[in-house]
Amino acid sequence: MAEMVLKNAFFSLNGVDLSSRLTKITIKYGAEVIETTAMSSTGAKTKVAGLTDFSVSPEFNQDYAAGSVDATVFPLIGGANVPVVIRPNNAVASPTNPQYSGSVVPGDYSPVDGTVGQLLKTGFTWEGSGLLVRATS
Amino acid sequence: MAEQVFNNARLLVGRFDIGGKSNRIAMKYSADVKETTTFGSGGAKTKVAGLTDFDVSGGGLAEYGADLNDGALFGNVAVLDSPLTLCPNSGAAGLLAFFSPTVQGSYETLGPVGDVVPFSLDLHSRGTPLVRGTVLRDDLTAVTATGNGTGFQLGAVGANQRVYAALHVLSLTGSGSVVVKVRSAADNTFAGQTDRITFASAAAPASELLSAAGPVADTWWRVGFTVTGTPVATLVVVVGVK
Repeated sequence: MAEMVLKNAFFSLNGVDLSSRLTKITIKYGAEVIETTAMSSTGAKTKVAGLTDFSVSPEFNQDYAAGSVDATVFPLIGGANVPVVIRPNNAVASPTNPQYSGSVVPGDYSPVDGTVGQLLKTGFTWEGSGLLVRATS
Repeated sequence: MAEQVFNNARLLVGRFDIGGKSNRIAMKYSADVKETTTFGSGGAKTKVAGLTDFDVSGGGLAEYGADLNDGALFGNVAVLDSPLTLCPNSGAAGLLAFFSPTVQGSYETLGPVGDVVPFSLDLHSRGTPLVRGTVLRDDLTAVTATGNGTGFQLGAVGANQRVYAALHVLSLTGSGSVVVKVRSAADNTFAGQTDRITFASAAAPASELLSAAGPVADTWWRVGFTVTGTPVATLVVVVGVK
């Protein structure tokens, strides 16, 4: 598959599909880079990858309706880690539509944040806990 | 309800309605993130949520005069447990409200020559949870006689939960007092209703936030008023379960 324009991503948080209010989604996945440089003849630093980590940053048009953004996110703050599932397209996972899933820590959230006349929006960056899984089926 | 343009908000701080002259409001609700990674974590960091906290910041246009926002917010700095109610809407009965006791950390005003005088403030948690609740009574109609408000089906209170309620008496004229109660019942007839929260008698503008432990099996809730004398009171009551 060639490049794609992000038009119809899938995002679910704690089993609730919030895709219809999603305006931006970012996954950051990485590993700590740990230096292993020792006395050697190469004169260059050496490193290895350590523990992996990830974070998820969705942005939404805020919606206070039952079952929507605020009703889903607010009760999670400070509670147990919750599952997150993300796909670039709202279709079944496939090699051209990988699914990223894992657990995130409900760390922070702004229920209200705006200036008069603006469309109310919200977003957060929640840190992952454990492995981020990439599946293609 | 769908996405919404932020055209209306109620911000009640203690016995004052700040929202009418506000033009920006932000509430941040958060939990500390604590790492729990061990050798058994499979090569990935693991974490859990810790203590929760919240902050509210806002601003708008300053007003000067009796019971207007400059005097109100200046006097509220460092006052402990001032009830805060924030509605991202008109604040009408039945609509969403966030509320909790707060301490106001700052009040800032004045500015460059030629500008409309602004104000900004920030308020912080006092340790009581931030509650996502409902406006049980709005201030569109004054309270002048003993009676009850409209009932709303808001749900039961679990054994490990509490029902929280905040009262903001925004004005009270005339001669007399009003006692406000939060009542529950099994259905919307309110037959056999039970008083769950009773606020202190108000003979002047005031505010208070109280809670009661669950379990409460009743799912219908309303306010009740006991009026003595001939007061005319405009007040807001919000209630929620956490």
